[in-house]
Amino acid sequence: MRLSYNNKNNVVKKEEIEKRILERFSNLNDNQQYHNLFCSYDFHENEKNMLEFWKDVIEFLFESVKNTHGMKLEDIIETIKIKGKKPLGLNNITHKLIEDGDLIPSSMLSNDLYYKKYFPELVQTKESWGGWMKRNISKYSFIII
Amino acid sequence: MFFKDKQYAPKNNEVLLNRKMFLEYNEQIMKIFEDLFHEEDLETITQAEMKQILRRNVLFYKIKDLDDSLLDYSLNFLEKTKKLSRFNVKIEGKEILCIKYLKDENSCVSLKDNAIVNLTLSIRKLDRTVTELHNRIEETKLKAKEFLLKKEKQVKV
Repeated sequence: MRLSYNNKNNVVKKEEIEKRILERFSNLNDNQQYHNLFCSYDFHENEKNMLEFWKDVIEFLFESVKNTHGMKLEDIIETIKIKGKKPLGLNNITHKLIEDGDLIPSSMLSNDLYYKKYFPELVQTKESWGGWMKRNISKYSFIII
Repeated sequence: MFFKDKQYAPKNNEVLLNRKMFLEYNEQIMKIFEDLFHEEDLETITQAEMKQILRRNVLFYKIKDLDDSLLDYSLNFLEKTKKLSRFNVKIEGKEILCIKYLKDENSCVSLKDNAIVNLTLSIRKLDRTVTELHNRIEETKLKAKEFLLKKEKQVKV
C-alpha cells in the first residue's frame, strides 16, 4: 500500500484557506476567542470546547476547502494558519482526534486490533462452541453451585 | 486504550483519513460491487477494471476523489471487514490483482474464481485477436479492390 496521498486537483492557496476558515468560523474574528482557541491543548476535560472547535475546522478543511478524504498530519498542521499564527494545540488535538477515531491513520488499516477497537460491529467473528460453553458455564455457574 | 498502550504513534508524513468521508466512500465502493453482482451477475473483477469503472461512473456514484491510494485504503478496509476479498491470479507469468465481492458470510475465494478470471481474460484476449484479424482482412479487401480498379483502368487505356 502506498503511503503518499496527493490530491493534485485540490491546490488551494494558503490565503484562500485562511479566508474561508475565517468566513466559516467567525468567532476567530473576536480577539479574546482567537487568543483562547490558539492556546495549547493538554487533553483536559475542560478543554472540550476547544477540541470540538478544531475538530469542526479540520472537518471543514477536508470537506469544503481541500475536498479530499485524506491529508498528511504535517499538512493539516501546516495548512491551518490564521492571522499569521498556528494554533499551539493543533498537534495534540489531531492526536486526540486520532484516538477518538475521528481521523483514521492509514497505517492502521492493516492492523486487526484497530478494527476491534474502532469498528467492533464490522469485525464480529463467530463464537466457537468451546467459547460459547466456557462463557455460559461461567455465567450460570452460580445455579450449578 | 489502543493508543495509550503505545502500539501506535502518529508520524508527521502519515495520511490521516476523515472517518465520515472515508466510510461514505467505502459505501459507494460497495454499491458498485452490489450493482455489478445484481445487474451483471459479476462477483469477481480485476483491480484495474475496478479503477476503470470508478473513472467511468464518477457522477453516478458521487465519487469525489479518484486517488489510487484512497481506493487502496478502501479496499484494505473492506477486506478487513470481510465485505471483499483480494487475491492474485497468475496469467502468462504476470500477477493480476483481483477483487471478489463477498455476498454473504459464507462466501470466500475459491479455485473457481481463479478459473473465472483466467477464462474471462483469455476470452478478452481472443476477442481482441479476432477484432484485429477482422480489421486486417477488411484492410486487405479494400487494398485488393483498389488494386483491381487500377488494373481495370490500365487495361482500358
